[in-house]
Amino acid sequence: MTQEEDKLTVVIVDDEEMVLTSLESFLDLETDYVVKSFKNPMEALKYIEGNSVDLVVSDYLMPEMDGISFLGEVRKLKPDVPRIILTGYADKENAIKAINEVGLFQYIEKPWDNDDLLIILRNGVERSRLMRKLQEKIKEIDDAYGELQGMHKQILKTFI
Amino acid sequence: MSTHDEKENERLRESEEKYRKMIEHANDAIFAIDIKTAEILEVNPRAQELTGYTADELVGMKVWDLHPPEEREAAEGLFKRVSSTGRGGRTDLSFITKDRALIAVDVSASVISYGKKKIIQRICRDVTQKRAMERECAEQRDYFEYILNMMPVGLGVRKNIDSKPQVEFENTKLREMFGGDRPRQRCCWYEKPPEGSLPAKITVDDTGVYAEERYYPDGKVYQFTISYYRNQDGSWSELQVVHDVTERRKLEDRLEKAKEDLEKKVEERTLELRHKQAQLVQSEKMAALGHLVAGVAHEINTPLGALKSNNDLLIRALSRMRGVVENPATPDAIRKHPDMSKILSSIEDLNAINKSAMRRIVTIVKSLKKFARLDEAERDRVDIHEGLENTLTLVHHEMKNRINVHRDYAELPLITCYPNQINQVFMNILVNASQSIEGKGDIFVKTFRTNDCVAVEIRDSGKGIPKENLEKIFDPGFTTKGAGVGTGLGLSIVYKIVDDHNGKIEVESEVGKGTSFRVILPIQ
Repeated sequence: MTQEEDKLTVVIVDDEEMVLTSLESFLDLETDYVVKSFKNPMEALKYIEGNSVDLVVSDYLMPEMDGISFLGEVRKLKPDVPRIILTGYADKENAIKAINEVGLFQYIEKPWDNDDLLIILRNGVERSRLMRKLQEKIKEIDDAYGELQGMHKQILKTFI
Repeated sequence: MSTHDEKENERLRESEEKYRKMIEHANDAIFAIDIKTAEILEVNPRAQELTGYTADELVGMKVWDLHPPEEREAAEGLFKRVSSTGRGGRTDLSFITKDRALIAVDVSASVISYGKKKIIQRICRDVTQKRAMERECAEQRDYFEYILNMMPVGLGVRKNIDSKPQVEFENTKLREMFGGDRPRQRCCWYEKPPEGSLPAKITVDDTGVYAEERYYPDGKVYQFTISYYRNQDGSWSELQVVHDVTERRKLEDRLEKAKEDLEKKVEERTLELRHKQAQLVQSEKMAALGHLVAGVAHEINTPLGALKSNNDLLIRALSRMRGVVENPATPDAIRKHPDMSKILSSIEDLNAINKSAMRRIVTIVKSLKKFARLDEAERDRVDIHEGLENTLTLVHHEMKNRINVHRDYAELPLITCYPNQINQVFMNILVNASQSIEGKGDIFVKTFRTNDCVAVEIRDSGKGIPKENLEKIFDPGFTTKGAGVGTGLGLSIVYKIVDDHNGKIEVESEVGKGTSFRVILPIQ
């Protein structure tokens, strides 16, 4: 279990250095997640493509690419990874509409409350972990089934 | 024959001779007529010349034979009158000459003694030329009178106005204007020249002109222009020209009324436009504010998020650090160091202050966002109290340590409205209320329900509004705050917004005691 938790990776994207540092420091203190932070969404996408990721948190308004588009891209790469948007933008209505379009796990309003943030992240990671476990179990079952099939064939061969 | 008789005869003969000579040379035709038979007895040369007949031809004619048949009766009448009464007579007749020409003659007849007998002497003067001139004069006069009568203005001349006024001439139009059934008081003639219309020194050719307009009970309006002038004999006359200006006046009155109507309409439209302009300025301001708030919210929330998170992190970290420090396993040199506990406590205290300071910033930014209602710019069902509270938060800086806000909120249903506009109403009234209070004071915010409406009453203990200003406070541009302080648009915007919501706004004020605004909004 502990071994597994150690591997949990959270990706944070925000064009503001201070937000990244704050979140990083907080998660370092309160969790055992591996935190990967990026100021540029494109770089974040590159990382996500090549590594195992459990959760992605992104800012809404960024100069290179807005958070909604970025998380849309993440969905294409890793559909099972929970995506969270962090928004300080006042137009909540439009933000929620956009969020529904790309299917997000949660949104967090700036200025955020650390306790709320922690709960949301934990739930997200938990979901991610459960999803992965589910996948593993399915794979195990598939493997077992394959094995059974092989044995079934052998048994049949032996008797026929 | 006596000497006396001879002398008498001699005298008669001389006088006869004198008379004969006189009539020989007379310029008038003279006929001697038998007083009994009316036969011509004798004629002078001028009579022959005038009639074209010789003396021989004339003598023995009846006196009327010279006249055309239609005048025979008149000629005979004159003869009979003169012969029977012996008194002289005169009449206008004409002769038919031997050449059948007609000559106008002035005939006078009288009885004279001729020698021993009495005869009728008939003196006939040729007046053909005079008659023609007279006729021409009359024709000319008729012509001018015709022209004057054709004129569309009343024209009259009165003479002797300074002694015995007498109408000399009136044209048809003037008689029409004042004649018939028209009341007497409409008489156009002045009894006296109006005062001041005559120059003090007047010479013969000088004229004074007087003009006036008179209204009559039947609605007629006449314009008089009267010239006074002195005649050669020194008497005064007046020439009066009278225009009927009734129609013109009516048109002018209509024009005046139309002008007034137009002015009124312009005024109304101007006020309407000013309201609209105020509204436009207001919505532009709100839109600008919206953008500003959105930008500010975003810009502030990001660093604020970091600050808040960091502060929270510091609190957590410090709490852990205290755990480490207070752990009995920690060496005493650290654990019991006199500075340690002091430093930890003061950092904890400062963190707590930072936390509450940040909570306040968060509240203000939230209120700002909610005030502008950027997320709810459309018509919505809202809690009036929430709007009031958000607004009170924003105007807090105006009132802090100076004004006590007393809340008396009733249970109210949600109302359907444009929340950002209604918040603007509360904002404007609250700012005015706090500005009206010099020094310390109170603002009472009370809400209650009346039938299908909710009412928000905002009462202040400020300086109040004078009665004469109370009606004007909702007019766009009206302000008492002085240049640079107020735009004079605040309350006009309040009025417009409440009006747009089919609501009502009531105001009561007493100078020195305070002002109370009551905003009544329908629930639906």
